[in-house]
Amino acid sequence: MSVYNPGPSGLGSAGSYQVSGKPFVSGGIDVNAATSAGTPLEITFPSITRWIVIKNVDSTVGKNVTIGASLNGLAGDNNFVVEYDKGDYRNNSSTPRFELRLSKIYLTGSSTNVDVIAGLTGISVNELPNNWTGSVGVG
Amino acid sequence: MAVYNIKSPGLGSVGSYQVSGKPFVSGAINVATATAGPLGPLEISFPSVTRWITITNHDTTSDGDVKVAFSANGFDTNNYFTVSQDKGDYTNTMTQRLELKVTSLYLTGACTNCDVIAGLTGIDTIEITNNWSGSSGIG
Repeated sequence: MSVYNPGPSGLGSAGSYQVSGKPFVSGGIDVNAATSAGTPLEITFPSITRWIVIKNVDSTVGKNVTIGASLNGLAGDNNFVVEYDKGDYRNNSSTPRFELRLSKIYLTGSSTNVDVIAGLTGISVNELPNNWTGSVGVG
Repeated sequence: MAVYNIKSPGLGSVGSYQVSGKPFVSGAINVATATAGPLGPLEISFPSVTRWITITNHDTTSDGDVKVAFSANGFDTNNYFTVSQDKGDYTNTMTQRLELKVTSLYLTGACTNCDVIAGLTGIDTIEITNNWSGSSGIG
């Protein structure tokens, strides 16, 4: 007799990205303190993300934060900057809602107040063991 | 005889997130008053599981930020994010449409005029135990 035994959702499970995410929030992050200690700050998600938003709440001039999906990406050119909160319409201090499947991100810079907000899928991080490290565009 | 027994949609019901939400709006919330002294964070409870949420801060005073979390513990464990005061220009006073499935959120801070807008699914709140409290990234 055949037995229906559904396994866990895989990385390509479309339905897992169609439902809204389980929240993940890490706020008030002092990236400067971590960076001063000599190591980029790693944010690890408990499951694969459906989307992420990074906000730089620091309003001090020049207190930017740089984001990468791998340590190599931060060291090289595979990273982007979220600028300090200038309080004007040119404000680049919050990213759009990036619909990216990730298991972690890396932060470096001088900002003392960064928020990371994510919507999580139920997909295990084991499905993405190296968080795309080594891929083109990730580093 | 087979009996067709329709059930309520569960938390992973994709169709419930594909249709647009039933509106939920709570406006002009005085977070400062509601959380003064021993009152603690203000809980906003949704009548059903959300498809998305947006928080707007209309407070124009310089210290009028509001912090948002998905459990009361989240404020103690840095699992929150900040919506800045209204600086009178196109800044970060309104969150993006955060596609999150939650049954409540918590507010604290000096904001005297905040709006919470949500799109609701038809999924019963009992499908999420304690609104994810205790999970990684929630606190």
